[in-house]
Amino acid sequence: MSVATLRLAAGYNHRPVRVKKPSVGALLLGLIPFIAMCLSVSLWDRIEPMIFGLPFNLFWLIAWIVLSSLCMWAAYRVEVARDRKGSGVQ
Amino acid sequence: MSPSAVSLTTIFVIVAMGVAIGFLAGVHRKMDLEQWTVGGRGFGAVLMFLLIAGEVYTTFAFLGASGWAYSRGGPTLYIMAYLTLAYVVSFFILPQIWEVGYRSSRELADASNRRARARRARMISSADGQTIENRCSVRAESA
Repeated sequence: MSVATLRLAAGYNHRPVRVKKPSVGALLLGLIPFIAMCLSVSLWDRIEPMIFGLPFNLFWLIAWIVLSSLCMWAAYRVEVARDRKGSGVQ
Repeated sequence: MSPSAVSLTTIFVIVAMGVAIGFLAGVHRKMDLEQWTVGGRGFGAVLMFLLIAGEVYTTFAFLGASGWAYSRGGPTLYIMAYLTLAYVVSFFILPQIWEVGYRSSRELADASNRRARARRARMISSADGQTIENRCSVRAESA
């Protein structure tokens, strides 16, 4: 299992601390909210259609606050599943 | 009493109360550096929750954002996007920072406490903590 070694470069702790890297699947799941809210603005930045009385771009952003939580929940499940599988090996 | 006098009085009363409580708390017990910086690592869950909530919901959330939306309109929509995406980044970064803090089990002042024996250096590093923290970059290398 791949681990990253983090060391505080300020130098007061010379023992390296090993922390695990996030898995590729979790990173891809984390990328989804970025694509939806940040990298695709021109696709959804419009007023019509109004949904629940909200302009479409406002509704889109509010919807993705909820959907981002779902993405991060899925990423969490991926990490937990990997930890459970990896704990016997390590 | 004019509004500005009311607000100034409120601020000074709160500051004076905070200082008085702080001094009274230290009168009867001997405090070391750990107690001063992180409350002797004895903050309860409720106090931690309130502190974190106070960190997250800043004045910007209540006054800044709404006032800005009132004066500027549409562009303030970005607030919802950047706050959400900030937590996505935190999901990957914060556990690792926690891990480093837990394993090395040291606050910044603790670290300088062990590293620099001199009392004056310790005091300076506590006062100047933010600067040192900023210089403290976390370097990652593969193992």
